[in-house]
Amino acid sequence: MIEIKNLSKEYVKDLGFKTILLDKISFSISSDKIISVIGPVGSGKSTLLKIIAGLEKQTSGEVHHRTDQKIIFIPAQPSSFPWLNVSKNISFGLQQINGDEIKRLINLVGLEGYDTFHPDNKTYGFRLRISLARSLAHKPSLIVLDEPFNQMDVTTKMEILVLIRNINKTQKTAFLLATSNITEALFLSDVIYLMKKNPCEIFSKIEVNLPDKRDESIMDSEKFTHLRLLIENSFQQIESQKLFRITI
Amino acid sequence: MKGKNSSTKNSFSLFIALLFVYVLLFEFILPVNKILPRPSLFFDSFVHIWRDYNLTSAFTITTSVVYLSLIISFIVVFAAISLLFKIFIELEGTILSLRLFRYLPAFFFAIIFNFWFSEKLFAEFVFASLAAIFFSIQKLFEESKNVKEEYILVARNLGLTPSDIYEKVYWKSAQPTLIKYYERIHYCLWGIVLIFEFIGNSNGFGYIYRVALSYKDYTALFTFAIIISLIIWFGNFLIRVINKKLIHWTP
Repeated sequence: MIEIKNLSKEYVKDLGFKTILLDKISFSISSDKIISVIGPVGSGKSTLLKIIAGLEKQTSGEVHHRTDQKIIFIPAQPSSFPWLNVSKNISFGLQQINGDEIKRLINLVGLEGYDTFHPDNKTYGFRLRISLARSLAHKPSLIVLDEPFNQMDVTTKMEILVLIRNINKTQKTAFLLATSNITEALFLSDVIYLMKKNPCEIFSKIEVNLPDKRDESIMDSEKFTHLRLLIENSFQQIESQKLFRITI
Repeated sequence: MKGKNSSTKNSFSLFIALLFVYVLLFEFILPVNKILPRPSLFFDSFVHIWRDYNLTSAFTITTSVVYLSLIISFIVVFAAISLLFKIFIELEGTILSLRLFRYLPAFFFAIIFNFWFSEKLFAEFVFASLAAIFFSIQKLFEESKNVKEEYILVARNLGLTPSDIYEKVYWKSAQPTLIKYYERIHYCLWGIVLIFEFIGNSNGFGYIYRVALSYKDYTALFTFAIIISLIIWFGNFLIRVINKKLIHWTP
């Protein structure tokens, strides 16, 4: 269990004006769940993820987790290194490299036969698979994904969504996804937190009680549509006076 | 790739066309003129020029200085890579303020080095090496700001130490641009080494140029220019081959 308690982030701009980016964000992440945070563009989701992954400092609040629990961050842009081949990308940063484990991860993410390929000029899906395998090689408790599906075609996105759910179920690795896309969050998640901006606060928690095994057909189900409408309405209510972009 | 091939083909065709026009115009139509020497004059006088001006020695000295300096600059940058990036990131402001010196022309430093060192060849070598190191470091500094943020974030997140990040992320990310930039450093180095030798009045192609100029031996001057162009072309070709062999990624 990883707990985020009263996390706030303030920036002091020129002339001493303070901007509150995150305001007392609190939620918890169970060890075998997929959690999504849906919020409008520019609401501070990436900053929240970076703070959780220890890449940025918060102004106040805490991220509680055991010291042996690793949190791995996957950025929005492809982050596999183009100068390393698939195998070396996956073992990047490891103290001890276990060849069999690397092979197993390559197969797990669907890159069998591509061990010696370089990710340069490859698709976003290919590069995200490498990032996922690299993250898993570090045996993390939580993998945080910062809007990773933005530049992917529909078919690849669906394959990766199914892959992440499979990894979650088989490896017992928790995922935290930040997105502004309701459909991908609903398909992937067990729990969804809704965020508003200016300042960024969590205003609702939604339990996604869809079946564990999910495929494309689930998006046509009544439950899925109901949940989607529920989320849309929640956003409309909270931000009725403001214009912001949520991709559906 | 197709575009690159057709560009090489176009350059070659243009070169052949210009050569044909030159031979036709200055060998047969205007053999006596004050524009360019006859092509056959080059061939007739080439052996004499090579012997009279001791071009073997000049060729050895200048090419050794240029290419050894290039190699040394790469070795120095490679050996000090972690330290360099650390300095770039921590002392960015100080480094930017040093840009003041970029307005000083290369011959200013050539004069200083000629003045400081009595041993001209040693001075030339130190001058060329420092210039090559300076150009490489300057490019590396520019590239240190172009490293993709996601690569740095991932490396930090995976627990790499700062010096590992400089070596495994910054350096790798900068390599394609830096090695490509060596083509330009190569051109610049030829220019400033020739200036150094011209001012230093001691050895190398620059010195030979000065002597030929004092005798108003224009045929020799043209011949030197062609020899130097061929060496630069060959050097550039080598850098491109090395680049192709070593670098297979875009930053």
